[in-house]
Amino acid sequence: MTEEKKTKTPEEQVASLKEGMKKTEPEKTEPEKTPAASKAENPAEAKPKPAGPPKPTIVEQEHTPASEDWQKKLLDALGDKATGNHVASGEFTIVLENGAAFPETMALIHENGYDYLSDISSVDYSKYEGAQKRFALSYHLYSVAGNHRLRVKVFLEDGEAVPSVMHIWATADFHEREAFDLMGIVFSGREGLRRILLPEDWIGHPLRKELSKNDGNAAYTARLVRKVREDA
Amino acid sequence: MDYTMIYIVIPTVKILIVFTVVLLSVLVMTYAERKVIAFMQVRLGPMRVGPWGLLQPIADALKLFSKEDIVPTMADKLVYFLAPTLAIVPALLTFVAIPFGDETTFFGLLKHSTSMAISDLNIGLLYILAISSVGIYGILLGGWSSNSKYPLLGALRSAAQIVSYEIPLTLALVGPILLANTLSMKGIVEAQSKGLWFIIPQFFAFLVYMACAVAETNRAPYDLPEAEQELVAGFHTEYSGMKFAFFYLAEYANMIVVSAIATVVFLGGWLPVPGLAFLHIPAIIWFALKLAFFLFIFLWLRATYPRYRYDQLMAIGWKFFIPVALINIFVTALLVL
Amino acid sequence: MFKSEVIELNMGPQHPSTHGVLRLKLKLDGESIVDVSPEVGYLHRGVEKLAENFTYLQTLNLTDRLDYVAAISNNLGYIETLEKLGEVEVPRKAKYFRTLMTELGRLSSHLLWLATHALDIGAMTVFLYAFREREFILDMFEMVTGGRLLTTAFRYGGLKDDIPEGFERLVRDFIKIFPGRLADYEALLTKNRIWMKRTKQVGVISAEEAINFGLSGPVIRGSGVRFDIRKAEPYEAYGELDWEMAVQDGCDTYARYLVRLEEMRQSLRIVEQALDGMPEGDFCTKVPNVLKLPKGEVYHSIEAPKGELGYYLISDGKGTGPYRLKVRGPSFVNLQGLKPMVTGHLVADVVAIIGTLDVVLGEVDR
Repeated sequence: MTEEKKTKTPEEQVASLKEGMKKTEPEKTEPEKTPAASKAENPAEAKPKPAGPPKPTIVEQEHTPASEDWQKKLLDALGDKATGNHVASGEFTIVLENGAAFPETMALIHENGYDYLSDISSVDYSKYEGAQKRFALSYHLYSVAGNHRLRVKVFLEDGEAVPSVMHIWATADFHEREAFDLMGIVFSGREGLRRILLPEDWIGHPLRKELSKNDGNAAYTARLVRKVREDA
Repeated sequence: MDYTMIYIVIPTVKILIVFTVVLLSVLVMTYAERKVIAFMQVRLGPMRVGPWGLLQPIADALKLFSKEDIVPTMADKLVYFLAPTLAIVPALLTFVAIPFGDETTFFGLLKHSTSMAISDLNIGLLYILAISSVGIYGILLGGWSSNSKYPLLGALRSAAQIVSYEIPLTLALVGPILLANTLSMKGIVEAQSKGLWFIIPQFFAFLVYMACAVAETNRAPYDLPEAEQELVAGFHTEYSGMKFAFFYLAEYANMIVVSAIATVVFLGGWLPVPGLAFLHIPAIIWFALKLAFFLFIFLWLRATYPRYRYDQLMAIGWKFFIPVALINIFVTALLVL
Repeated sequence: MFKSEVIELNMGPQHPSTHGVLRLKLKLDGESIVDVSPEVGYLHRGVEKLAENFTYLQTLNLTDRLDYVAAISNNLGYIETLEKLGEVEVPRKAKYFRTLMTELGRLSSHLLWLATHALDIGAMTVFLYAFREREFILDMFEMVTGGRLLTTAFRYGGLKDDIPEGFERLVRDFIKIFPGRLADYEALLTKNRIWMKRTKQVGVISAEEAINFGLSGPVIRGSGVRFDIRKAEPYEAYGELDWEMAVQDGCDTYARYLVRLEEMRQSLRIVEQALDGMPEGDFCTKVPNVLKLPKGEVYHSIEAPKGELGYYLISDGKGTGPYRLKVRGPSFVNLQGLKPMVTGHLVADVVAIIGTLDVVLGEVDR
């Protein structure tokens, strides 16, 4: 642990403490470490204490093209609206473009039997290697009749608005509000887009990567206290 | 001398005895409620205050005495103070006409025997029903004067419920009145001593009466006006301390009143169970046993049943109980004629 | 001359029966409800943000606190998500034991649901009976994981430890007494006319609406939709055991009540079969102590007692914790079903309907 001996700024100290926490784990367990009987998905662990910042080889999830009938059927129905697709870990993902045609494409998917929207997740790819755009929305769909799962991904930049799909699946309401609340993705074409988990007058979108888990709270509390003092 | 004895001394003594016993039994009821329901729910109930929690009612009484008297700011002060009184006084007044036993000479102190009711009115039953109806003012005014949404809703519901259920209650009692040919409580018991207890010929009236009695006293399953889960505490949400104690006691006093009426009208009052007369149990003990039986049924119902929703409650009262009670009256009248 | 006004009534966040900090803004026309707007977020603890700062094992601890009533299902869902991304094979013994524990969790969750639902409608006694049964299950949890409510059970690749001594005895005793107790609850409620009046035709939602609103679990199975993830996409040992899906056609609160009772019976059946058929072998696959998953994303959902509990995990391949973890809490989505179910009913029914949706604020707010 030669790094710790240099004098550092407070931020660096915190950062190195975090690294130190992660690094002590392989040290502790080195005597009992056994190579994984099944697949060893991280060759980085086989290395002893690294001298410098470790350069682990990142194992990627395997992507295969669509092979099953129902997948091909859906891709045929979508035609060129689906700009990408792959199968990974047994899941079928379709990539769509954000734009005015997005709700129609989603309606088309709905007509193809995907009547159940499980989840809409917002992702901030700003610290992710190899991401083209900053944000993504993952729509997880399920067909009750056919028992198939589907993920639809839409990539967007900061500030881009996404058309809402609330008119197709009513369940999208809360999910979109949450994505707006925590990640700041604006959904157009719907009413009542307001915060759901955080207080109405919160400022900022905490799930974004540039905000740490401690940001925002102090500022909000300070504003609240000021407001209470003014009213009193 | 005789005049004073009959009209002043004896009634005063009787009043003192009856009210002491009634208030004590109300206290005992509070304890019994917690214990009996606890045992039905696989738990023990009050155990700490005194052996087996027997001093719990005293602890409760002391607590209520010593609580701060909170009055909501916007409450209508006079009415707020008056409402609990209006709840408990009528409840206690009904005990005037209830006969607890046969004639008594107070263990030989008196030359002539006197009835065990404070006053054996010859319109006893009518008097009781009339006076207990006044108790509704306490609830209504209590909820109104609290000046708050939840008590108001609770008071309105409670008032509507009690008023609606008064009708089938009274109608159910008309059947036994026809059979007994008198409104005097003592007379009704005596009419039962000659034949069957009225529960047998008037079985349906008895069932209607029991259901309405439970509704009159705002007890489960008709306790929606007080349902915690929905209205916090109904009409007595804003009350605390002695005023709350009055409402609380009024509820138990009402329970004892309706149970006493049921005992007198349907179960033969102080008469011994046919066939067990040889046991030589005093009449008043028979009365107490039957009273205890009805009170136990109140507790049993509370522990077992969910509560009715308000509109269902009203629907049953008006659309089911009244017709049944009316039919009972017609049939009884036909048979009596 | 007469003007009728719509009054606004606020229920909660502190209320004897909103099951947690849920705020409902009701608009009433007299006693019947015109509109309801649930306000959530009072229990928001930022679990998803915290997960980005924690390792995979530390996040397991966080998942306990989502549906804190049946913490063990949350654990299972999360561990399975990790295993799906990491493509690890779990030994059969671990699968059976996980199934057993998760079904015990389902029983415990449904017992709590029954207790609070009955209490809200006024049947106080069922509350105490159900909690008495729940104590047995919590003792079993404590024996295996050390925690009664928040279990942090299971580990990546299998279980944390082997099955403890005396555990089988506890489960067998429980299996013996539970059917009788379940019969007690049924005797008190199922054919009780007051119960039926309070729950039939209350909170009706059709199958199409339920699917459109994304409802899941007993809520959707009470409307006749045969959707149970344990049957549709079997995980752990559910595919190998013999049990029935509980479905009713009533679409109302009473139907959902029957569904959950039937699920309790089936859970007991699964527990018994898992215990009888427990295979020998390892309880955990050998996995590295510091977990790093491949770079990629996976969405895995299980049938939690409340509905479809989904975890969306994105890993960037280099960190020791999730890059993004999204929890699809069933209660969060089921709460959207409140509005169609409640509109037109009376205030007294709101409590029954919240009870039937079985909302736990932990997974609504995360």
